[in-house]
Amino acid sequence: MFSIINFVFYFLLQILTGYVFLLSLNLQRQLNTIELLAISYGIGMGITSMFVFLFNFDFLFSFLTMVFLIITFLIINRKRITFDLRFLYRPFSKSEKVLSSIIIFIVLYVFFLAVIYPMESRDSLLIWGLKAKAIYLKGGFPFDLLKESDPDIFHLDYPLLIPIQEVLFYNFLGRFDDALVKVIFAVWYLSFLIIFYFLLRRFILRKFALIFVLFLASLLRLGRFFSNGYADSVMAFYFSLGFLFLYLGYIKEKNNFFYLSAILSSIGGWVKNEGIAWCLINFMLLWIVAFLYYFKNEKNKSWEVKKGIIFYVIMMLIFILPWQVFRIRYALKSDILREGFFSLSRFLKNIERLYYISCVYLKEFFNFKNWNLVWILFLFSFLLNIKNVFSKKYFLFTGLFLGFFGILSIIYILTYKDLHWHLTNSVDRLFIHIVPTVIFWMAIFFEDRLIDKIDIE
Amino acid sequence: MGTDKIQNKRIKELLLKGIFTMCITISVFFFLKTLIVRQYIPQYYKLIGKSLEKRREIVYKKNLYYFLNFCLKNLPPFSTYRLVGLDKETTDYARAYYYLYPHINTIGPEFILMYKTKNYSEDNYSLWRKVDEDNFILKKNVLHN
Repeated sequence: MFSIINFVFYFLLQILTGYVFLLSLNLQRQLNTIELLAISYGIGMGITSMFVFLFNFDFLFSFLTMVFLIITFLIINRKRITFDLRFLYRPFSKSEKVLSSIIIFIVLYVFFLAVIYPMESRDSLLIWGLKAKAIYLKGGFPFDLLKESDPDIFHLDYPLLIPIQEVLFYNFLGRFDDALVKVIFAVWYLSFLIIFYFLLRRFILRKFALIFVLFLASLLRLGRFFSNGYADSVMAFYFSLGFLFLYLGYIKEKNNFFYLSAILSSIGGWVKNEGIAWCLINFMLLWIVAFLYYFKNEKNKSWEVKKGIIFYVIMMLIFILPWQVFRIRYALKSDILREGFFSLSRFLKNIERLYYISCVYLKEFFNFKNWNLVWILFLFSFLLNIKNVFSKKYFLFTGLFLGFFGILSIIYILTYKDLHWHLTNSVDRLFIHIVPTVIFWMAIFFEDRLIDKIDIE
Repeated sequence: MGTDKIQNKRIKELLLKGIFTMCITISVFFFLKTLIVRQYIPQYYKLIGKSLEKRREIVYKKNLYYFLNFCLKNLPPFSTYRLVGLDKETTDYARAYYYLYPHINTIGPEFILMYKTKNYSEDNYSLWRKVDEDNFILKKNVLHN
């Protein structure tokens, strides 16, 4: 009984922490209640884990401090707490009920997989689970892993959001349960689908939004990664949503969403190292938006975007800098980004690798088991839409895709590891980071070109 | 003009329905293949209702799980080891490493854990405990002056 209460308290802590953040930025007015809770979870997971890290893994002190701050803030701001459930008022049609039922079934299946299996996949064990076990047993960073004959297998340079959250969960539960802990990933998955749905609803009708959510949910790879404790699914959550809120802020001219983009993208840098690169892509896209407004002489809008940029910098300092300082302080080196990695001469020497890299990408696009028809439909639609890639509706997506594939390809061109090994062991996981945005792009494209607006109104 | 518009709309509807049907078919096909051909359903049935350690035994497979527990039971606290018989690139190696922690795999360890390895010997190490001929633990010889 006590375990169940603590289990609930764990999630309550995450959601309330995120909610306090959203309340402080007045974002609760622009989000309905369910969306608010889902985003709060994502943000709360970032904030609470950073709290614990900054308080030197003192879980009890961090917990008490967070609870005190949350309660104080909520009492002071109690009049601003509102709930918006209007989205439930319109009844679901028969087809919408069918689509929703299938999505719910998939979510339940992911929850089932998450809790039934103990942690058993390679990366979830060696990179995340092992650190969580070590921190849980030792109460601090597992420096003893440096004595390992091959410490590169643990990627000790990777940030600690996931291990710390796993330890927080164990502390709340009162025991080490590496099967049940994976429910935090399943809740991330549920939150992701909810937020994705409501983002789509701002652009397309409910039925089509459900279709695209189902499309995303039907990707077995994504669901599997949200159930087995891999960080790539969590990375997809923060990177995709960081970009999509930036896009939403620009298209709908609601600048508060830039703040949401900033915190989500920055938390991505606290999940995995490549999150820093993806955060910088989103950050650069915001700069491009700022320049656009500047050249169009729209001073008010330009100033709002500049506030977003400043917020991005603050969030990056909070979520990315502390771990990088720690990593450099204790010489926790990356096995990929070694000294002299970024070398122009080596890049030019290895440029011929681009052909092989492109072939591997193409082969992965045709991996229907992992991706269904996502990549085929996307490539086809992208080519159909080639004239509009730099239009207002699409240019941010174009920038994102160029940035993502550009950076990925540069890493593979420069890698010291065996190229074939590096590609085959990472490319399918890394594609997970971008695939939700690809599906969102397709939803925008379908709304633009294939759905008859007059008839469906 | 009106007829063209209706026809256009019909083509778009058919296209959308066709794409949607193809996507669902592909997903259902691979989902059922995973469940039935790769026999995940029998595994789920075995796992439901079992304790965490029993589920770990089923997932890790009996031999490895039993061997790891044997090592955990017999290794002194915080001792170091080297694991022989599992390739470092395999999931079983990851499971072993994770399960044996806080024991650490180091160079020049106090113990060598021999998993499914016959007739292995190493200078300075002698047999310490064994499960059977294929699974045993070697201990570093202590030099006496």
